[in-house]
Amino acid sequence: MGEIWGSVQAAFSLLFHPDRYLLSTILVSFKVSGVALLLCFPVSAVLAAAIALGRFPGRGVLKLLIRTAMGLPSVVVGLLVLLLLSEAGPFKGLLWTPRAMVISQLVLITPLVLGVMISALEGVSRRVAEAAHVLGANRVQIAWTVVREARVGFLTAGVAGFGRAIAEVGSVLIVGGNIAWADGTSYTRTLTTAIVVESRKGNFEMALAFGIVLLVLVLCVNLILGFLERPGEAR
Amino acid sequence: MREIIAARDLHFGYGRREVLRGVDLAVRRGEILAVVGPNGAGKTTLFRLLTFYLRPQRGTVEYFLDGHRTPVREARRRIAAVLQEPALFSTDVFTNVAYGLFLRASCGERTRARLARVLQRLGLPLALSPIEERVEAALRAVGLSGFAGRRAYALSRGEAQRVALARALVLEPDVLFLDEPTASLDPESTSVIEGVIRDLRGAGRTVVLSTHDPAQARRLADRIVRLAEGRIVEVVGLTTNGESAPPQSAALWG
Repeated sequence: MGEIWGSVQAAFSLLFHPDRYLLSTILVSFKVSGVALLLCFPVSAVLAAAIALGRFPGRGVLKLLIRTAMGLPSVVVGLLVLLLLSEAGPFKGLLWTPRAMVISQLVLITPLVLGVMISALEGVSRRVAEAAHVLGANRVQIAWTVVREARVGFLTAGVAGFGRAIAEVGSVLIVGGNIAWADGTSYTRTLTTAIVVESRKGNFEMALAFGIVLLVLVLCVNLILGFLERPGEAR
Repeated sequence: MREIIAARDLHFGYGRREVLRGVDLAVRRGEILAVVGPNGAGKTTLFRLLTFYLRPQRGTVEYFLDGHRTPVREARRRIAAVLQEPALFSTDVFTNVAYGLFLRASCGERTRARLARVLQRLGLPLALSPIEERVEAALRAVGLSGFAGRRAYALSRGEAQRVALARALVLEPDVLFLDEPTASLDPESTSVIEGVIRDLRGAGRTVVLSTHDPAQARRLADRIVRLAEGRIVEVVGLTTNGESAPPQSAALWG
């Protein structure tokens, strides 16, 4: 018990006096997850509007596939991306780079973001689209009006996607390779993969410090969500 | 031609359930036409066909806003409707009422109105933009002057329905459709909405309203069309030239 308490104290002192290793690892985590979300969000928004508001054959099957993919195990995604990026695959040369990690996170979070956005759009009353129509809106203006009604749901989708990306360990470990240079600067090491490595080395203070940063991040994400989902506002 | 809307032989069904079975209806310029009938008679579906929200499975809807046939796109810009549910957008009252105006406004007019609102919120005394003036006038007409800054979700049902009415009125439409505008509303909102309809009649506007309350139809309308099981079964009021309906039978109106 005393040892654990000592580790917690050491972790907090690390947090208040962060070294290059800790800072660069946090930065890599943010960069990779942030870029993945930035790439995923606009594409998902357009696709979600088309799927939720459009009427075309195979729409139900497509929604089922998206919902299934929302629960994709991250190691499976990592494995698939590894095969695609390996020397034998079509996109060689990207493996063990932050770009590879962005690609795997993109594959991982897009179904989640898309699924939450579709639910948000379908949660908007059909009367809203009708109201827009009878006030003279054309199809694009109606779609935009419904998307605006679902704006909180869209933000929730973004926050949830970022949360999943930053807390994910399996795929970034497989395609990123968990690389940190000799001077301690992280190249493809993220908060989660660093926890794996540090705890294996018995370096519990560092592992705990990373864990605390992650927890604080998840707390911030939930605070943002709670703020956005004030009662009475649009979902 | 006095006809402003000509609907011929309208058929519509949801799946196998046929809701409208051959409705012929002519709406005349400047009249208040009430469509009455029990729930499920097809009133809302008829309104959806007349406002082009749904396409008839058979039959046609034509507008003659300027004497000759008006293209659908133009007709849609010159009509407006209030649905049975207010269906307000989750934002403030101003943005709700200004919705149709923003759709029709130029980029400059939109920017001016938005900028003026931001500056007013910051406490800068500034002349109202043309869009704001029209919104304020529409809100005054429904007795909600000063409500522009309120959030839509914080309104009572009656206030929300009046905002929905203002949202349509502000467009000064050639034809205004009101689908059960006072269903389950408080007496104050009902009397305000009925007052607005009377004012519209005074101004020579065309209004098509549906109601399940025959007394209200008699109070407000120049002509009453009774819909039952997807067909027009009776027309009461002025002459029924050109209507494929049976002769008047006031007895049904007890």
